[in-house]
Amino acid sequence: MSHAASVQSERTSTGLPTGRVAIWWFIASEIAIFGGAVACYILLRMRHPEWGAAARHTATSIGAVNTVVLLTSSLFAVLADSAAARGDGRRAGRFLLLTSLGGLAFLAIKAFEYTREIQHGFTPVTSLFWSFYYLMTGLHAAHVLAGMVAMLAVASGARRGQSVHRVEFVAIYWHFVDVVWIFLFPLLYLAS
Amino acid sequence: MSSTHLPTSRYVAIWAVLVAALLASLALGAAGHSRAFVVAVFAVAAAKAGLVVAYFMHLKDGPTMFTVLLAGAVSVVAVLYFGLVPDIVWVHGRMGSP
Repeated sequence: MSHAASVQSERTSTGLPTGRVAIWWFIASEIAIFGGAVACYILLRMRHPEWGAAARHTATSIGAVNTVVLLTSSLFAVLADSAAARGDGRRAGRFLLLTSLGGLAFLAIKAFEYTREIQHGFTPVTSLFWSFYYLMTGLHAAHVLAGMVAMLAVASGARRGQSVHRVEFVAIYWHFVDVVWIFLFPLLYLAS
Repeated sequence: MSSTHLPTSRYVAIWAVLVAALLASLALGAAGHSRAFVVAVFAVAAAKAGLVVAYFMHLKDGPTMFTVLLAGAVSVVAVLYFGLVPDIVWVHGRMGSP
Protein backbone atom coordinates (compact mmCIF):
# COMPACT_ATOMS: atom_id res chain seq x y z
CA MET A 1 0.00 0.00 0.00
CA SER A 2 1.40 3.43 -0.91
CA HIS A 3 2.03 6.09 1.71
CA ALA A 4 -0.85 8.23 0.33
CA ALA A 5 -3.30 5.34 0.56
CA SER A 6 -2.10 4.61 4.08
CA VAL A 7 -2.77 8.19 5.20
CA GLN A 8 -6.23 8.21 3.62
CA SER A 9 -7.41 4.82 4.84
CA GLU A 10 -5.45 3.68 7.85
CA ARG A 11 -4.84 6.74 10.02
CA THR A 12 -6.59 6.20 13.32
CA SER A 13 -6.81 9.53 15.14
CA THR A 14 -10.13 8.35 16.58
CA GLY A 15 -8.85 4.86 17.28
CA LEU A 16 -10.86 3.74 14.25
CA PRO A 17 -9.95 3.42 10.59
CA THR A 18 -10.51 6.85 9.03
CA GLY A 19 -12.39 5.37 6.10
CA ARG A 20 -14.91 3.73 8.42
CA VAL A 21 -15.49 6.99 10.31
CA ALA A 22 -15.87 8.80 6.97
CA ILE A 23 -18.51 6.41 5.62
CA TRP A 24 -20.60 6.77 8.80
CA TRP A 25 -20.35 10.57 8.59
CA PHE A 26 -21.42 10.33 4.96
CA ILE A 27 -24.40 8.18 5.92
CA ALA A 28 -25.39 10.66 8.65
CA SER A 29 -25.48 13.42 6.01
CA GLU A 30 -27.52 11.19 3.71
CA ILE A 31 -30.05 10.65 6.51
CA ALA A 32 -30.58 14.41 6.58
CA ILE A 33 -31.17 14.43 2.80
CA PHE A 34 -33.58 11.49 2.60
CA GLY A 35 -35.08 12.24 6.01
CA GLY A 36 -35.84 15.82 4.96
CA ALA A 37 -37.65 14.63 1.84
CA VAL A 38 -39.56 11.96 3.78
CA ALA A 39 -40.52 14.41 6.57
CA CYS A 40 -41.82 16.93 4.01
CA TYR A 41 -43.78 14.17 2.25
CA ILE A 42 -45.40 13.01 5.50
CA LEU A 43 -46.28 16.57 6.50
CA LEU A 44 -47.92 17.30 3.15
CA ARG A 45 -49.57 13.87 3.14
CA MET A 46 -51.28 14.82 6.42
CA ARG A 47 -52.50 17.99 4.75
CA HIS A 48 -53.69 16.18 1.62
CA PRO A 49 -55.62 12.99 2.45
CA GLU A 50 -56.57 12.73 -1.22
CA TRP A 51 -52.99 11.58 -1.93
CA GLY A 52 -54.16 8.18 -0.70
CA ALA A 53 -56.12 7.75 -3.93
CA ALA A 54 -53.03 8.61 -5.98
CA ALA A 55 -50.90 6.16 -3.97
CA ARG A 56 -53.27 3.34 -4.93
CA HIS A 57 -51.96 3.66 -8.50
CA THR A 58 -48.41 2.68 -7.52
CA ALA A 59 -47.54 -0.94 -8.35
CA THR A 60 -47.26 -2.62 -4.95
CA SER A 61 -46.30 -6.02 -6.41
CA ILE A 62 -43.43 -4.52 -8.41
CA GLY A 63 -42.28 -2.56 -5.37
CA ALA A 64 -42.38 -5.73 -3.26
CA VAL A 65 -40.29 -7.65 -5.81
CA ASN A 66 -37.76 -4.81 -5.78
CA THR A 67 -37.68 -4.94 -1.98
CA VAL A 68 -36.75 -8.64 -2.11
CA VAL A 69 -34.10 -7.86 -4.74
CA LEU A 70 -32.52 -5.18 -2.53
CA LEU A 71 -32.70 -7.31 0.62
CA THR A 72 -30.98 -10.15 -1.24
CA SER A 73 -28.29 -7.82 -2.57
CA SER A 74 -27.75 -6.62 1.01
CA LEU A 75 -27.22 -10.25 2.04
CA PHE A 76 -24.54 -10.57 -0.65
CA ALA A 77 -22.96 -7.30 0.55
CA VAL A 78 -22.65 -8.50 4.14
CA LEU A 79 -21.21 -11.82 2.93
CA ALA A 80 -18.66 -9.82 0.90
CA ASP A 81 -17.82 -7.85 4.05
CA SER A 82 -17.37 -11.08 6.02
CA ALA A 83 -15.12 -12.55 3.32
CA ALA A 84 -13.05 -9.36 3.30
CA ALA A 85 -12.75 -9.49 7.10
CA ARG A 86 -11.23 -12.97 6.68
CA GLY A 87 -8.83 -11.58 4.08
CA ASP A 88 -10.46 -13.49 1.22
CA GLY A 89 -10.45 -10.76 -1.44
CA ARG A 90 -11.47 -13.04 -4.31
CA ARG A 91 -14.58 -14.24 -2.51
CA ALA A 92 -15.39 -10.69 -1.38
CA GLY A 93 -15.06 -9.50 -4.98
CA ARG A 94 -17.42 -12.23 -6.21
CA PHE A 95 -20.06 -11.30 -3.63
CA LEU A 96 -19.72 -7.62 -4.54
CA LEU A 97 -20.36 -8.51 -8.17
CA LEU A 98 -23.50 -10.37 -7.11
CA THR A 99 -24.52 -7.32 -5.07
CA SER A 100 -24.04 -5.12 -8.14
CA LEU A 101 -26.16 -7.51 -10.19
CA GLY A 102 -28.89 -7.06 -7.57
CA GLY A 103 -28.59 -3.30 -8.04
CA LEU A 104 -28.83 -3.71 -11.80
CA ALA A 105 -31.95 -5.87 -11.42
CA PHE A 106 -33.45 -3.24 -9.10
CA LEU A 107 -32.84 -0.46 -11.63
CA ALA A 108 -34.20 -2.55 -14.52
CA ILE A 109 -37.39 -3.29 -12.59
CA LYS A 110 -37.66 0.38 -11.57
CA ALA A 111 -37.27 1.46 -15.21
CA PHE A 112 -40.07 -0.96 -16.17
CA GLU A 113 -42.22 0.48 -13.38
CA TYR A 114 -41.54 4.09 -14.42
CA THR A 115 -42.45 3.21 -18.03
CA ARG A 116 -45.70 1.62 -16.90
CA GLU A 117 -46.61 4.63 -14.75
CA ILE A 118 -45.79 7.20 -17.43
CA GLN A 119 -47.83 5.19 -19.96
CA HIS A 120 -50.74 5.43 -17.53
CA GLY A 121 -50.32 9.22 -17.43
CA PHE A 122 -48.58 9.50 -14.06
CA THR A 123 -45.62 11.80 -14.66
CA PRO A 124 -43.66 14.03 -12.24
CA VAL A 125 -45.99 16.94 -13.08
CA THR A 126 -49.27 15.03 -12.72
CA SER A 127 -49.67 16.04 -9.07
CA LEU A 128 -47.60 16.82 -5.98
CA PHE A 129 -47.84 13.16 -4.89
CA TRP A 130 -46.26 11.99 -8.14
CA SER A 131 -43.64 14.76 -7.90
CA PHE A 132 -42.63 13.37 -4.50
CA TYR A 133 -42.80 9.81 -5.81
CA TYR A 134 -40.39 10.50 -8.67
CA LEU A 135 -38.16 12.71 -6.51
CA MET A 136 -37.69 10.15 -3.73
CA THR A 137 -37.51 7.01 -5.88
CA GLY A 138 -35.30 8.81 -8.44
CA LEU A 139 -32.93 10.05 -5.74
CA HIS A 140 -32.81 6.52 -4.35
CA ALA A 141 -32.16 5.02 -7.79
CA ALA A 142 -29.28 7.48 -8.28
CA HIS A 143 -27.80 6.20 -5.01
CA VAL A 144 -28.21 2.60 -6.21
CA LEU A 145 -26.35 3.48 -9.42
CA ALA A 146 -23.57 5.26 -7.51
CA GLY A 147 -23.24 2.28 -5.17
CA MET A 148 -22.94 -0.11 -8.11
CA VAL A 149 -20.14 1.95 -9.67
CA ALA A 150 -18.27 2.12 -6.35
CA MET A 151 -18.79 -1.59 -5.75
CA LEU A 152 -17.49 -2.61 -9.17
CA ALA A 153 -14.37 -0.48 -8.60
CA VAL A 154 -13.78 -1.97 -5.13
CA ALA A 155 -14.55 -5.51 -6.36
CA SER A 156 -11.99 -5.13 -9.14
CA GLY A 157 -9.27 -4.33 -6.59
CA ALA A 158 -10.43 -6.85 -3.98
CA ARG A 159 -10.27 -9.74 -6.47
CA ARG A 160 -6.57 -8.89 -6.92
CA GLY A 161 -6.10 -8.58 -3.16
CA GLN A 162 -5.82 -4.76 -3.26
CA SER A 163 -7.54 -2.45 -0.74
CA VAL A 164 -9.71 -5.28 0.57
CA HIS A 165 -10.60 -3.12 3.60
CA ARG A 166 -12.71 -0.91 1.30
CA VAL A 167 -15.23 -3.74 0.86
CA GLU A 168 -16.60 -2.90 4.32
CA PHE A 169 -17.21 0.74 3.32
CA VAL A 170 -19.17 0.00 0.14
CA ALA A 171 -21.12 -2.72 1.98
CA ILE A 172 -22.17 -0.28 4.73
CA TYR A 173 -23.22 2.24 2.08
CA TRP A 174 -25.26 -0.43 0.28
CA HIS A 175 -27.07 -1.43 3.46
CA PHE A 176 -28.00 2.22 3.98
CA VAL A 177 -29.48 2.33 0.47
CA ASP A 178 -31.46 -0.78 1.46
CA VAL A 179 -32.70 0.88 4.67
CA VAL A 180 -33.90 3.92 2.71
CA TRP A 181 -35.95 1.66 0.44
CA ILE A 182 -37.35 -0.19 3.46
CA PHE A 183 -39.00 3.10 4.45
CA LEU A 184 -39.88 4.32 0.95
CA PHE A 185 -41.80 1.14 0.14
CA PRO A 186 -44.53 1.47 2.82
CA LEU A 187 -44.53 5.24 2.46
CA LEU A 188 -45.26 5.30 -1.29
CA TYR A 189 -46.86 1.91 -1.95
CA LEU A 190 -48.59 0.58 1.18
CA ALA A 191 -49.89 3.66 3.04
CA SER A 192 -52.61 4.46 0.54
CA MET B 1 -12.61 -4.42 9.26
CA SER B 2 -15.50 -4.96 11.55
CA SER B 3 -14.50 -7.32 14.33
CA THR B 4 -17.91 -8.94 14.77
CA HIS B 5 -18.99 -11.06 11.87
CA LEU B 6 -21.61 -13.77 12.15
CA PRO B 7 -21.58 -17.16 10.42
CA THR B 8 -23.13 -17.17 6.94
CA SER B 9 -26.13 -19.17 8.19
CA ARG B 10 -27.00 -16.38 10.65
CA TYR B 11 -26.96 -13.78 7.92
CA VAL B 12 -29.19 -15.96 5.75
CA ALA B 13 -31.56 -16.39 8.72
CA ILE B 14 -31.72 -12.59 9.18
CA TRP B 15 -32.43 -12.20 5.45
CA ALA B 16 -35.28 -14.73 5.78
CA VAL B 17 -36.73 -12.75 8.69
CA LEU B 18 -36.54 -9.56 6.60
CA VAL B 19 -38.41 -11.21 3.72
CA ALA B 20 -41.00 -12.60 6.16
CA ALA B 21 -41.44 -9.09 7.58
CA LEU B 22 -42.01 -7.79 4.05
CA LEU B 23 -44.76 -10.37 3.55
CA ALA B 24 -46.28 -9.30 6.87
CA SER B 25 -46.23 -5.67 5.66
CA LEU B 26 -48.00 -6.65 2.46
CA ALA B 27 -50.64 -8.54 4.44
CA LEU B 28 -51.16 -5.55 6.73
CA GLY B 29 -51.33 -3.19 3.77
CA ALA B 30 -53.96 -5.37 2.10
CA ALA B 31 -55.94 -5.84 5.30
CA GLY B 32 -56.91 -2.21 5.72
CA HIS B 33 -56.02 1.43 5.41
CA SER B 34 -56.96 2.65 8.88
CA ARG B 35 -54.48 4.55 11.03
CA ALA B 36 -53.75 1.40 13.08
CA PHE B 37 -52.74 -0.56 9.98
CA VAL B 38 -50.52 2.28 8.77
CA VAL B 39 -48.82 2.45 12.17
CA ALA B 40 -48.32 -1.33 12.12
CA VAL B 41 -46.82 -1.22 8.61
CA PHE B 42 -44.32 1.43 9.67
CA ALA B 43 -43.52 -0.44 12.88
CA VAL B 44 -42.60 -3.47 10.76
CA ALA B 45 -40.48 -1.23 8.50
CA ALA B 46 -38.68 0.20 11.53
CA ALA B 47 -38.00 -3.33 12.82
CA LYS B 48 -36.60 -4.35 9.41
CA ALA B 49 -34.37 -1.28 9.29
CA GLY B 50 -33.21 -2.04 12.84
CA LEU B 51 -32.19 -5.56 11.83
CA VAL B 52 -30.22 -4.32 8.81
CA VAL B 53 -28.47 -1.57 10.81
CA ALA B 54 -27.71 -3.79 13.81
CA TYR B 55 -26.53 -6.95 12.05
CA PHE B 56 -25.67 -6.16 8.42
CA MET B 57 -24.06 -2.78 9.21
CA HIS B 58 -22.67 -4.19 12.50
CA LEU B 59 -23.83 -1.21 14.54
CA LYS B 60 -24.96 -3.53 17.35
CA ASP B 61 -21.36 -4.24 18.32
CA GLY B 62 -19.84 -1.15 16.73
CA PRO B 63 -18.37 1.92 18.40
CA THR B 64 -20.82 4.16 20.28
CA MET B 65 -19.58 7.05 18.16
CA PHE B 66 -21.43 5.70 15.11
CA THR B 67 -24.67 5.28 17.04
CA VAL B 68 -24.36 8.87 18.26
CA LEU B 69 -23.72 10.03 14.68
CA LEU B 70 -26.87 8.30 13.42
CA ALA B 71 -28.94 9.49 16.37
CA GLY B 72 -27.78 13.06 15.71
CA ALA B 73 -28.81 12.89 12.05
CA VAL B 74 -32.20 11.37 12.90
CA SER B 75 -32.68 14.08 15.55
CA VAL B 76 -32.16 16.80 12.93
CA VAL B 77 -34.91 15.25 10.82
CA ALA B 78 -37.16 14.89 13.89
CA VAL B 79 -36.69 18.58 14.76
CA LEU B 80 -37.62 19.50 11.18
CA TYR B 81 -40.71 17.31 11.31
CA PHE B 82 -42.02 18.21 14.75
CA GLY B 83 -41.13 21.87 14.20
CA LEU B 84 -43.39 22.00 11.16
CA VAL B 85 -46.25 19.77 12.36
CA PRO B 86 -47.99 22.61 14.27
CA ASP B 87 -47.94 24.81 11.16
CA ILE B 88 -49.26 22.09 8.86
CA VAL B 89 -51.75 20.32 11.13
CA TRP B 90 -52.83 22.72 13.84
CA VAL B 91 -52.80 26.05 11.98
CA HIS B 92 -54.22 24.98 8.64
CA GLY B 93 -55.87 21.79 9.80
CA ARG B 94 -56.76 18.85 7.63
CA MET B 95 -60.02 20.45 6.66
CA GLY B 96 -58.52 23.91 6.27
CA SER B 97 -58.34 25.88 3.08
CA PRO B 98 -55.56 24.76 0.73
